[in-house]
Amino acid sequence: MNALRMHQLQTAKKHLMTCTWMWNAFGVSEHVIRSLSGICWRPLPLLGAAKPSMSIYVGLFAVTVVLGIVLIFSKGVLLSSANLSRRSCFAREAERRRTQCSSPNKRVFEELWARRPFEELRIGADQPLHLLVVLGSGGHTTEMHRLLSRDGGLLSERWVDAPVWVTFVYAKTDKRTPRWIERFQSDLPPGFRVLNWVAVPRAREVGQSWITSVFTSIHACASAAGLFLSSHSLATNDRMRAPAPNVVLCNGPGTCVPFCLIAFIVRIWNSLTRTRPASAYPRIIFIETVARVYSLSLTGKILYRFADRFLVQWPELARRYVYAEYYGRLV
Amino acid sequence: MGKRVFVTVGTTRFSGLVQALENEQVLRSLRRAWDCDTLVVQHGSGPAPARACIERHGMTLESFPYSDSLRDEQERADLIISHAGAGSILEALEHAKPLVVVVNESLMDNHQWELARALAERKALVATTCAELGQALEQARRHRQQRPLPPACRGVLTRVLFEES
Repeated sequence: MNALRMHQLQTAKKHLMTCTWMWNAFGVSEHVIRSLSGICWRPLPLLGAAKPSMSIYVGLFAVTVVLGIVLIFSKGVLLSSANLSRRSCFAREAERRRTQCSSPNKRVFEELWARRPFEELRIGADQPLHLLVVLGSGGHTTEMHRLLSRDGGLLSERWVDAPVWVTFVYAKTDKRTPRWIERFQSDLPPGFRVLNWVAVPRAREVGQSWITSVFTSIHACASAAGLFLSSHSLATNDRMRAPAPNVVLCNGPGTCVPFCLIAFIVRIWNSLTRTRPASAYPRIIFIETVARVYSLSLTGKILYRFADRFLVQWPELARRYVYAEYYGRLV
Repeated sequence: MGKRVFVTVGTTRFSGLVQALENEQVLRSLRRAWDCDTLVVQHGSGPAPARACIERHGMTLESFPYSDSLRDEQERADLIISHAGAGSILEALEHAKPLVVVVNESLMDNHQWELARALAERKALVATTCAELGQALEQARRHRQQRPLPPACRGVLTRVLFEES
């Protein structure tokens, strides 16, 4: 092998290796690429082309692109072995039911952050329950009203040893909700007490541009964090110190996303610092609005992995989404 | 004794539905098929329907922009024509009144179809659009078997909260 051919071989291999990262991205090891390049390259000096590396380079690039497109459009079906057989789908579902883990979030929380079972962190029915109820505009508020007026009495009947507190949160631009809260407060079930109601800025108005919505989202997150941090020393009307909310209850307005995010961060922070009591670990309960029958709302899609309990109100949704729970129409 | 028909557009505006109330065919089917003599319209932030149009067909019009509680209006009505908002639909179905739901097609992300379609499949209501309201009213009059909705589950939230805490 003369020096020219040797040089051609070297450059060609060098060009080929630039593709390595692309192949690595699809899980092909470097060893395989090296041996492949050895095979591809042997006939090349026989061709004696002026630019020997180009054709192979373009070819490999094309194959990479095609493979990438196929993998992207297969939406992870090709790569995950769990989906290959229908039986393993059922096995996974059964395993989920057995471990009673309604959300991947909880499992991650147990294994990574808390390093102890979630059961130890239970609030206990003798501890005060502080609900943070996120109200949206219009339909969401009506639904939450129906839910609370139907279930509130039952809740305060069963939660006899400790008070049930409610903090309402609504969007600042919403003019009608404060009046609604006043009305709701007057026919509140006994045992319930509305601690306060807070107006927060919206993360994104309808039709707002994406760039400005980044800043408003940050603003919304900051006010949510302020609510969580200040409520430890929150002075209410009868000079009582309320704990931070331990349950975030939301049914689908976009306002609830920053609150769920902050609740999740608070929980991780408290578990890292081993904070007591257990009520310092806020849970997220998401109830999808009854208006969604076939697909989740955007808020639902975001909170699908974050919420501890994800309730839906139509069987079609429960069939489609694994972690969603369906008990019937709730509102 | 004439019947009372209640129309609600929800918290925002829905000018398509209000304009449909000035339509000849709609008014005729309201008058003939439903024997309506009082039309009560909650028209939101949009304009109210033209009074002359409705009175020409021998009906009286009562209109207001908003109300804190539509409950008593819904109880008094013999037919409810509603926009496709979840709250309005569920409240109307609670009173077990005949319900015609008009879907707002001008809303961009039109997921309002979902609830109306699902409930129409279960024969709990009649779903339609602004343009086909007149036909839908006559159709709703002819097949009057609207099934009542099964009641909502009670105590699920309590159970979930107890399991979580």
